Amino acid sequence: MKAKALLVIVAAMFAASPVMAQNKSAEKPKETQPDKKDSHKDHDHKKDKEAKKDDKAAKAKVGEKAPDFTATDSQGNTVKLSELTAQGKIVVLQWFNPDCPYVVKHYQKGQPNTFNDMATKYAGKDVVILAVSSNAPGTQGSGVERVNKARKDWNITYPVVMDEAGTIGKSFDAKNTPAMAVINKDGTLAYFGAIDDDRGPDKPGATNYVTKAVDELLAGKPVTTSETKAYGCSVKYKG
Amino acid sequence: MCKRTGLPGVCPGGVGFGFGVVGVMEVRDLIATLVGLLAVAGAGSAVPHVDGGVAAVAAGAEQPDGDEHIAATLVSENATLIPGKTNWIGLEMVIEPGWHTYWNGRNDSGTPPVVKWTVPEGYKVGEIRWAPPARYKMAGDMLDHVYEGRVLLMVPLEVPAGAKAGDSVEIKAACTFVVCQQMCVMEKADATLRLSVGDSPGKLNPRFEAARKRLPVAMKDAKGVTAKVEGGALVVEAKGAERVAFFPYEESAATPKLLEQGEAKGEKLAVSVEPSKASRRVRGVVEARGGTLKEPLYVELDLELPR
Repeated sequence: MKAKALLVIVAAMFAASPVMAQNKSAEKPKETQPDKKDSHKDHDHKKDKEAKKDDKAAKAKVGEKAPDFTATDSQGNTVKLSELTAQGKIVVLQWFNPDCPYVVKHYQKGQPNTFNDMATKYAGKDVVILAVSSNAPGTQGSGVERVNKARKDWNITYPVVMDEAGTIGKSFDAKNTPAMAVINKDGTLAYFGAIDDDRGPDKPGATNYVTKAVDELLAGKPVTTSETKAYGCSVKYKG
Repeated sequence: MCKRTGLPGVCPGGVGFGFGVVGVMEVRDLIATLVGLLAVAGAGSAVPHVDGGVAAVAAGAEQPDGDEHIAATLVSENATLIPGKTNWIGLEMVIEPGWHTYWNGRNDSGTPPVVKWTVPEGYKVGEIRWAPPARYKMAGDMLDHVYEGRVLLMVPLEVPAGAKAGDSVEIKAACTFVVCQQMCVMEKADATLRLSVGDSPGKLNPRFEAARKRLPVAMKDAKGVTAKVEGGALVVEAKGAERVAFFPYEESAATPKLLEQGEAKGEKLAVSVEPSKASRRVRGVVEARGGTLKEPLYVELDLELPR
């Protein structure tokens, strides 16, 4: 069982290797003349040029194909993103750290249980929710044992994908727990950012950006808010 | 007040360190300090240059005790409050060595302290004046702007003109902090300030003037500092400085390479800027230090991106 998991993780790392081969050189800002013509058009063109040179462009961008992954969840099951979307599912990713106050606030008695409520709402629909643990071994909230305890304590029904090497997290540029990604059934990254509009450690917010996006996708509508700044503790990446 | 005993004054017991009037550090705290200093040296790369130092124990401020990683004390600049004027009070935070909390600007993770004030009828508390932060880098190319050690957040208190000498005043602050090391915890702290209205301010708390000197000044008042946006970059020059840094506010144009570019040796700093959904203005605080500058200089920055 463990050897299979190791193989899967190694395979995932191989698949993600172009993402991992990043040159971290501090680049000076480019000297260009601001173009006084149609600035909006030219600005995008400049961005494309820089994106080709900037290694970080390998990371997921809203509106583009989401990076595929194959990994094992905390119960030993294999999870492959492209298989789920091929089945016509919308996939919601939730970066997870059960000891982070910004995550804990969504699982408290006496206030909305954001993620469990979301799982209930979309039960029986073509939506799959996956939590992702990208925290390196030994860091806060990491490891199968801690994750499974949280699943039990908080009655979490959906899987937690184990990404201890941080490959999946980095491919989505996930910096926080809880950062959220919504992938449409065509494999496009349709939303990335915060779960809701309360950035503090106390209570969930009134506006849930993820359910808004998923509802729009289910209705075949475009996503109106496709990107917000995620909040929460930092993902504890390796190194 | 000692949180452990609930009695006024310092917590009893432990090894006396004798810094100033108040200063008893438990042996446990001493070990924690040493461990914390090692942790700061090893993990994370914040330069704890807040005044008072990482392990400063000074008169009038509570130390975190028990499971706490941050302690909050409400302090006043004046010994007595002057009617009809702005009097300065403040939240004195003491953060356990190796831990940090967050500035009210751009952070990849974490949120700044949130304070709910209770003041007597007719009194008014204004906006917190945020002390300048330190940059803090984490694995995964993340950058936060944090507070470490001992930091005073000044707040203006409007005292009504009708307040009379001898009136008793009680101000309460219910605080929520996120304080982090490798891991983050949420901590709540309640602080109370009790003082009287008087005819004169009385003895002034020197922590306030020291904190005031570290608040950002307007660009026009910043000697030798210039800033402009040119060729897709914010360019800052600080004559005589050994280091220049830029700390953007959340409501600011995007700075996609802030991690690499936000701090530079020498007199000049260049940070790529792009309009964001939030703003076409680059806003934040410039820090210039070292070289011919006797004290670090903080400057408010607010520039429109050319179209």
